[in-house]
Amino acid sequence: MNIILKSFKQAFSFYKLYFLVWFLSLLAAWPLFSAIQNALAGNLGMTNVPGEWLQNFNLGYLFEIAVNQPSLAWMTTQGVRATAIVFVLVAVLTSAGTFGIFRELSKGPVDGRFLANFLRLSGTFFGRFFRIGLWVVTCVLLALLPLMAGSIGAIIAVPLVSFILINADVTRIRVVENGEKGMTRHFFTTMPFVLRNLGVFIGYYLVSVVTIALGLGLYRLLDNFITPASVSLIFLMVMIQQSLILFRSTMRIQIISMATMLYDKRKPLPVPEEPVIQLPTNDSTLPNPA
Amino acid sequence: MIERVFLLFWTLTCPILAQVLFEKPLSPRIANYDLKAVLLPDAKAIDGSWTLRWQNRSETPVTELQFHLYLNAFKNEKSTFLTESGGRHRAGTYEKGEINWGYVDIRRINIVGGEDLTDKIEYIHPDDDNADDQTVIRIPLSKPVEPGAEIELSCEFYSKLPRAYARTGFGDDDFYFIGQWFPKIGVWQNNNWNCHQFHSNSEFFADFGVYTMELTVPKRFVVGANAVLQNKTSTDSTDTYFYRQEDVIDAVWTAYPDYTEIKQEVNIRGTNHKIEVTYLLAPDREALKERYFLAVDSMFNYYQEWFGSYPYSNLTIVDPPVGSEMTVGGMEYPTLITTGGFFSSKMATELLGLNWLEVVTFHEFAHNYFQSLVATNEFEEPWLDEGFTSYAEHRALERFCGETTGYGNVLGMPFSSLDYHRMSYIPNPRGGTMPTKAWEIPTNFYQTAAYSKPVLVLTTLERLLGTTMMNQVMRTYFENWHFGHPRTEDFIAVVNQVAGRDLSWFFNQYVYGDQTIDLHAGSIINTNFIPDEGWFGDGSEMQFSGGNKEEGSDSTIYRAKVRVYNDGTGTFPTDIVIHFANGDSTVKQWDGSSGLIVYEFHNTPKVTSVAIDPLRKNLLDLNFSNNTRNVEAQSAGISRYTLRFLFWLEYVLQFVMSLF
Ligand SMILES: [Zn+2]
Repeated sequence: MNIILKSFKQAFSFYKLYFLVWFLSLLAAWPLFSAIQNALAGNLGMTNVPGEWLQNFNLGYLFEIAVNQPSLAWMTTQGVRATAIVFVLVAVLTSAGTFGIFRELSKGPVDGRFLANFLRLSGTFFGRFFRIGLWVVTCVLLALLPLMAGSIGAIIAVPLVSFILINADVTRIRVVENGEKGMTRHFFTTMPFVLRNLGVFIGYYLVSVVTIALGLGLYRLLDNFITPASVSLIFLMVMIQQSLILFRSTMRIQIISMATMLYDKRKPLPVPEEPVIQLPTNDSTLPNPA
Repeated sequence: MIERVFLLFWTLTCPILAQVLFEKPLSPRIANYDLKAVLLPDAKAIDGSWTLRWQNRSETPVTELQFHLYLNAFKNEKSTFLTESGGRHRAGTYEKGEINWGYVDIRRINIVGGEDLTDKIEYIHPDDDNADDQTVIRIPLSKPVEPGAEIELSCEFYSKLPRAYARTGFGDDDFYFIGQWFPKIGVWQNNNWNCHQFHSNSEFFADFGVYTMELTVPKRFVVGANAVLQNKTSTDSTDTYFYRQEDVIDAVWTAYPDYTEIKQEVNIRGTNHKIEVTYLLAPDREALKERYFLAVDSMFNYYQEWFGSYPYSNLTIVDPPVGSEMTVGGMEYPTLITTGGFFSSKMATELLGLNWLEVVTFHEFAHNYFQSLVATNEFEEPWLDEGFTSYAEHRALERFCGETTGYGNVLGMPFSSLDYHRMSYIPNPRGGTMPTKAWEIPTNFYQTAAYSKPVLVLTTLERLLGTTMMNQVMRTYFENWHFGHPRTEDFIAVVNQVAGRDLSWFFNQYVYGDQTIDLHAGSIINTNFIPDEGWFGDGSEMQFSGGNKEEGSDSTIYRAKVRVYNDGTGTFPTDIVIHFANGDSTVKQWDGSSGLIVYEFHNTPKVTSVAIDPLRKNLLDLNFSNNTRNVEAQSAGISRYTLRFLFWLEYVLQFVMSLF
């Protein structure tokens, strides 16, 4: 419990970090948003469509523009692709910086400027975190396969995905702690530790997940309540939306802070020089925690 | 002769109490069938026979007969149906394997009490050069059927049902939907047989008649048909159902052990006409009962109001099981329709936000008006069939589900049937014309030609004439042509007659032609107008004039130019509304001819905006978004959605962040 309170306190008081994460997400999404905004304003700005859309959205106009200007549809597709790549890069950068910062914080006060430290740590761990991310995506996709059998598959998929995400976080903590290479080994050798402590980890993570869900629920409530049919209401809605993003960024930081503390409390003895490599085969590494 | 005696014996001992449904025939009863079928589930086949009484109502002797053998479309990969469609139908394709093919084999056909015609059967292919297609036969007669005379034939046939992938056949778990299953006589019209091959996109054209059906199935089946059940007998292992329907153009039936049967009585308001609706629902669809009841009750009343009276007292609605909704769902037969299956379920509705149950039910039932009663030729003019039906469906959806949400609230966005049909029409408006033979319409234009463009054309006509007059048009068309075979020109004649004016300009461009319209508001240019200053006139008439106010003042006088274009090729008379800074507006009537027109205003307040076709009468306009123009830009309505998009993008990134 102490860890939870401490991590919430740490995350929510670390305004430099969460504003940075929020700012990076805004920056990453901005080019596509602004391209679409400009394209629509260019096509529809002088017409009555914006006025009508303030009252009611009509998909028909978008379709007409797409048909009459195929280049616009092409541009959007390319924009979505480019944004996807940028998102992955920004996600890795943020993750590496944040995990790095918390590792250093746990060892004592950090010298130097925050932004410089963040960027230094991002740079140091970028490649390794990227590779961990690839493992996560692969494993999550595999873990979602049971859903093909219908919603009943969630009984297997949800615990599996939770396990993979927690395992990935713990792997990241170990990587920034030891500064080692060999991500595949790290990713899989972390599993026994996570499995041993799975109950504890899931319990702690659940608190964060519930908090996120409450935030999202509150947003949905406000969203249903407010119809942004005027400039001031649109402004209000944007404030609410961006607050949610800020909150969500802070919660990711809270999870990282919490996971770091939890790991320190539960971690096994330091990894020996020549670890006994027990590289399990892929299939048996995805045990059913249920 | 022996057969005659047998027939007499059979009639006397037959357990049908052949109850007549209508006191007087409603239709010219030209083709009348007594059908018998025994379902053979192991062989996926039907052992069938019929007696057909066919009348020659023309002025000329008929020297040969022609029949459709529809099931031969599924006989092999060389049939016209398979080669035209590539074996694809909706999302599915045919499956290979011996059991999956279908055919109809005539074992014997003869004139009752007379000549055996079996050996005279000859395959013909009137529509294409496909010598391998066996969906139409001709049988020359030694003695012609004279004008006014009747011929009575008897036939034994074996119908191997295909695995259903296109509207008829068997599915998994003992599911059978049995349409186009017997040799069916063509239509003798204009001294010729109108008997087309079975094409992938068209199948219906037939004469009216009385149908009886004697259907024998193993006891485990629940059976439904497009007719009134008159009797049922049983043996230890089988049930036999006796059905009768009068004044229809087809006979179809279904058998499936897991149907739940539900009944609803619909009263047509303002009349004492009652209709018994029988629902045959696949497992888990009972939950849709209330939704069906409400939609079906409304639809009967709407169509009664807009088109005329549904003369039958029965309708069967088949909601096929999962897996079969894509193969046999969404189909129309006289007094029987198949609906949307899984896609209508509560789960799918909530997931997709689509009113699929209503869309499909309204559509398929509307076919009872446009095709089953107004029996147009789907082969030759599919738009009279699918197009009129889709128009009826659109109107019912608009009234039942709301003007902007006919198809639903798809992912939270209102989506109307007109949105849907415009999305089909706009990308390819000139792929062909509407009154074209179904198999000659390019595949990528069929949806547009048969369904979507007709809805837009008929709705535009409705807005041109006004709803009251359009209802009068539709009622007159139905009144004049139900139980008949009208063509496009017959409909146009009704329109011109009811409207009291010649609307050929409209039909020539948009029905027979492929003209397009794209009305487009161009620039608005306001220039400060400085009139000559001084004294003008003589004597007492002399007046001082001029001295314009400063730019920007409310009473500044301008010279304004408003440009509007029609970027299309056709014409359409249109209203143009021009608004001025002082709140005044003026309406200009434009003939909507192709090209540019400039309206000039002198001595006026600033023009602030222009709107072409503000009441949106012309649904064929290829781009509504350019129909208006303001002098000042607005962006709030755009930002509202793009900022939400930005938010969701950022949210997605947050999600990506938890992976990396
Ligand atoms: Zn249809």
